[in-house]
Amino acid sequence: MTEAERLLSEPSRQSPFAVIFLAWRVVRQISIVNIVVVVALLSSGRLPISGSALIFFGLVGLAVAGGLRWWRFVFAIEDGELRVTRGVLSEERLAIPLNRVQTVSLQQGLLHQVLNLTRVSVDTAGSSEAEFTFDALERIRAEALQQVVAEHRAATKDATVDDATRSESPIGPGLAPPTGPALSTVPPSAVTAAPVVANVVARRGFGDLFKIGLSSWPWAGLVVIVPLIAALDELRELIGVDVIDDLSERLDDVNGAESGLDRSVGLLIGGVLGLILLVTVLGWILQIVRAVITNWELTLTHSTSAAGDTLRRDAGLFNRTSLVANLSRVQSVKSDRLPMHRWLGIRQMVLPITGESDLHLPGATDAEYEEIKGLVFAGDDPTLDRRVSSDLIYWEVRNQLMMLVPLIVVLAAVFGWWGLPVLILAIIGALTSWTDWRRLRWGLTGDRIGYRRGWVVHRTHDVEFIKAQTVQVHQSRFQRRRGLATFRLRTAEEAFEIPMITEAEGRALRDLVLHRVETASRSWM
Amino acid sequence: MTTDSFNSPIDVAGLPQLPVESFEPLAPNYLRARYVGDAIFAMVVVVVGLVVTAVLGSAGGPVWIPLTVMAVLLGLLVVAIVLQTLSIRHLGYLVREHDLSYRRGVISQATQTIPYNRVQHVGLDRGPVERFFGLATLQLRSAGGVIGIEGLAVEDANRLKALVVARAGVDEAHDRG
Repeated sequence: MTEAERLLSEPSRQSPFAVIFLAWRVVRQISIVNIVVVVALLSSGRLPISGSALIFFGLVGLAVAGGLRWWRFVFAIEDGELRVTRGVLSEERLAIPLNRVQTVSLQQGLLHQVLNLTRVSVDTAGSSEAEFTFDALERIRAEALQQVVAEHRAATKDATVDDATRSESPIGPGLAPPTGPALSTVPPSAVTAAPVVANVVARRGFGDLFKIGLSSWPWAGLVVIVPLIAALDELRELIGVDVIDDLSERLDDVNGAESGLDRSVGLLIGGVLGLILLVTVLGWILQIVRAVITNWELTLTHSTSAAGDTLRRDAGLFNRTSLVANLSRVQSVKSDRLPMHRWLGIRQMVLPITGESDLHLPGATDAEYEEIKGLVFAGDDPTLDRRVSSDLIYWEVRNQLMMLVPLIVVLAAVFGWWGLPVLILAIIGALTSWTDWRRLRWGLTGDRIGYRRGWVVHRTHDVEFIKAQTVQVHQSRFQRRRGLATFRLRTAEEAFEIPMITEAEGRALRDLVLHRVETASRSWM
Repeated sequence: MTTDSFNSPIDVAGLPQLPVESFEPLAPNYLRARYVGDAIFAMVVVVVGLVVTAVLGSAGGPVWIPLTVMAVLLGLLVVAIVLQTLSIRHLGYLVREHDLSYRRGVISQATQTIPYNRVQHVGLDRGPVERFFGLATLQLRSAGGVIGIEGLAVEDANRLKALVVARAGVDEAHDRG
């Protein structure tokens, strides 16, 4: 029995501070709206009880409810299972085999950080939702749980490989293995505790976070500026002064009445430009603040141990999150580069992970991008030298026009010739489609496929064939007439799609993926 | 780093191809079952539409609204029936040693394939109309979505289900219907 397992082998409860979080759950169950209604009734004197008495009894009730829930929540690791007993009125017993646990995620809110506690979410293979959550565990026990689960997964994996090797040799490949359990588990005590080798792949300091904020779309500022304008409008009505009219009148007084109209137009244009500038600057400030709060001290660590290769992401200023995922559960590697990203030499990386939220790495440099791809995928990168049919442009422009023509007709009927400038949208759409087609390149190796595309946002997406859950060759009537097809590969987390390749390429790709999936000796997760 | 790399070149042309011409058609009475389902839907639309029209008419309300909605729904149903009739020739499934494919669509056609080693649950769905016609829908669930093969004769569906369960070594989902 390892040290981590010994720590969790005795039935125990969460930290006593968990009572606070459990009581808060009760508040959320009652619903804050209901509480506000009661307070409102109380203030109107319609309840036959004084406010202080209600607050007192309410707090006592919450403490009792939280305390009972804490007392009744007992957990332990026994016989390779995580066993939990919970419930006040009706008792619920859960027994989750450790090899079925997909991830153990740790998260620290502000109060958790003050009390040195951790919120722990345990996900299993049977559900994409968190199976259950520990509201407050001491950090040492939370990390021990992570470690024990990782050890069991590694032990199961080893045992599976051994079984497969044993069963294949006497009967030859391609035949079903003898009857018996497909998976067998090895007690964690049998696993040799190999030293953990950790390597920090990426770390973000304040300068990096500044870059991340600066390279994001700044228009989030609209969220603030729109209510601000509404508030100014209210203020104007309150004080009875129209700011623009007032300024225009003052200018007229200075320059003479005949130039008043020109001045007003100039003022309006200046005002709009100023507003756009204000929104942009505010947006950038907010994005920088957001980057600092969510990615503070972001560290991505790659560890190699008996439990296998894992990636660990820690980040956050007030709400500190920790995500640990086995590398084999990463489904693909994606990246986006906005114009500002390209100027700053960074990109936004995303690793979709089975049963868990995506692992985001903002501000990744080219070196980090290559290193992480090297960790996730074996072998060389595919050479992106294949193109799709230029019919893609025609197809996209045609679809855009089908949407725009009715709009233009309606606008022309209402506004006359002023409806025609909407055609500019069609020109922009056509230009976007043409540039996207020019940049769209895809390629493959024997094990994986990738593409890059996009005009404003440069996107890349790489997937290993063995991650495929289903494959599809899709042909619209337009594509059938031209001998084209769309190839779709669905992983457990998202779809990978290449449009407008030849029908023969689509079918060959499907056959290749199926061949790899059906002959692979390695699990998809 | 992931281990077990087998990045050796392979001859794509030599790979086993999905034989497009070998797809099995669905059960012959599947189209009839669809027509019955359509007729039931049309009856519900007409009855609800007439009741709402009568209620609105007696209250002096705008009766043209339910009548228009009813006409649009019935028009869409006619289009759907035409598409169902045309699509029956293209619908089909193909069972191979390691995967199962399903082909569908009229205007847009798609062939979807699920390898048995990606199937997590297998189940049969049978609605009242399907039960009446001795049909079933086979549901194959993977981590990346569901493939539902409609219009299988119930014996074929059971045989396919047993085959997939044996090949995939997975749980049987609870059958419905």
